[in-house]
Amino acid sequence: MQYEVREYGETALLIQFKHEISLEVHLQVKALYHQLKKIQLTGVLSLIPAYNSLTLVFDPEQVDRDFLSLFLNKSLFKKEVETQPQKTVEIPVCYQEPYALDLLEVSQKTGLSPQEIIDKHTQKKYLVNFIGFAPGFMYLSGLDSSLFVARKENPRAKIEAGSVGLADQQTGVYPLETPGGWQIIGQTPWTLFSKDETPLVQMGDYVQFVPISTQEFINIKAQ
Amino acid sequence: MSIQVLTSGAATTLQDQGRYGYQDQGVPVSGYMDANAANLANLLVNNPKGEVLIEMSLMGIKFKTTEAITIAITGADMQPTLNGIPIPMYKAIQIPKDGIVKLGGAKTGVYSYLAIAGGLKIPKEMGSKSTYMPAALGGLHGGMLQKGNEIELQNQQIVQNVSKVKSVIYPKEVDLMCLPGPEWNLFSEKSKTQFLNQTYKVTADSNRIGIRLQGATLKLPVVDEIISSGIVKGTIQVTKAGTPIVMMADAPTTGGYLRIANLTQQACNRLAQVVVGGSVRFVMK
Repeated sequence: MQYEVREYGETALLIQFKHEISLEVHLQVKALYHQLKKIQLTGVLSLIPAYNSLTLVFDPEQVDRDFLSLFLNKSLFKKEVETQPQKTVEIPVCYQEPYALDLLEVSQKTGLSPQEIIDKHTQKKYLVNFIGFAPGFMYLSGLDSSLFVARKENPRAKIEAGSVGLADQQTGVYPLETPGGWQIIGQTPWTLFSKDETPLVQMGDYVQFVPISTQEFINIKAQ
Repeated sequence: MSIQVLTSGAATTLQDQGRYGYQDQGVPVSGYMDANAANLANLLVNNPKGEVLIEMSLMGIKFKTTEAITIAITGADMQPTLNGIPIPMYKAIQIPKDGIVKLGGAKTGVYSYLAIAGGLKIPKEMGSKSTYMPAALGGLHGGMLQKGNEIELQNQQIVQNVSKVKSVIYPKEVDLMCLPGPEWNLFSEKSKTQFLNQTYKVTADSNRIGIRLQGATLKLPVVDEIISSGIVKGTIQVTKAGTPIVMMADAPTTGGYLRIANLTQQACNRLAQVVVGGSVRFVMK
């Protein structure tokens, strides 16, 4: 496992892995994140895993930065990456009216029919590289390149929680109601962020979107 | 045993020392914007460090007490009164039953802190009582205080702390100590020098998420973004337009802009109190 430990302000260290987005680097970040989470070092307040980095936030009144840095550099973290079975979470998505706000626009921009877009979006499993930016937001990779489409020229002031969108090379789900510029092609009736429940999806899981009808959406939502 | 909110102020929330340990789920830390002022308010009423208190921005609240309580107010000078008579800040003050405490507009600074001896009866959510509105987390139902709200008190205490601390006057021009950020060395010598020599103005679209600054734009390196990576309070990001944003309490957990520098913790506290139009200069520690 190769990384460099760098100072990052008075309260954090940045553990920087190889400068690329890849499965190999992802597995390394995940392995170190799980090991650090398990040992719960005194004074470490928080871990922020990302594509190729892990930010470790600490309380300088409780632990010395140089000690943490030394520990991270000298510890013999398990070199082999975890081989735990991959979990796939199937997330229901309604790609029909009134939830597929930009499906026609995406159809025009990509030259694919709405059904082709739905097929391509639901055929693949996406790797959850990490959860970040906003509560419950999944950074997914694996989008089919035929679905790469620019963001909307004018972002919407309000996008409903659960909206599924496309933006450049990314796809994802808005976990909370926010403003945003993604092209919305559907919506999941599931709640992706809840303060009271364990997260449905975690770093390293795979996600597959499963198409559902408008009626099924309403039924699940009503449960 | 409670206080009743009569007017809400501009953006009043309950905050504690922050929600740590959930950033791997994308949950921001939140917590006090100016930890110095908040810690002092708690200290003056013998509350433990990190206790939840009332944070007010620019315009304060008015409330009525149902019992005698002890309070302390620090931070921005919102000219507090008790039943219409001015009361000092930076000092523990006894408020009688049915007393009406009112805070006005901030004369200097931005954020005021009001601590009540014994603390507020607020449940922890994800390990903290801090309000984070986008996810309706913490505080009073996850939102700003509203007229008509009632905040239950934990253990009402009368504190006989006679010490008065020197008031802080918040200047409109401050120097902010910083450390090199992860991408500092990607910037050219010219851009680094410009970043440290020029004066930036705090703009009106600043809030608990970040303080946006205006100044001559920085020339960015050829690679003008990074693979999304962790952000902490005090991280200074440079947008593609070449202007810095200082990430504050409610900052997203990750981002893709270049991180030119990081404010020290004390500099974060100082910056929180700089009003819109005020100027800041970065000084490398």
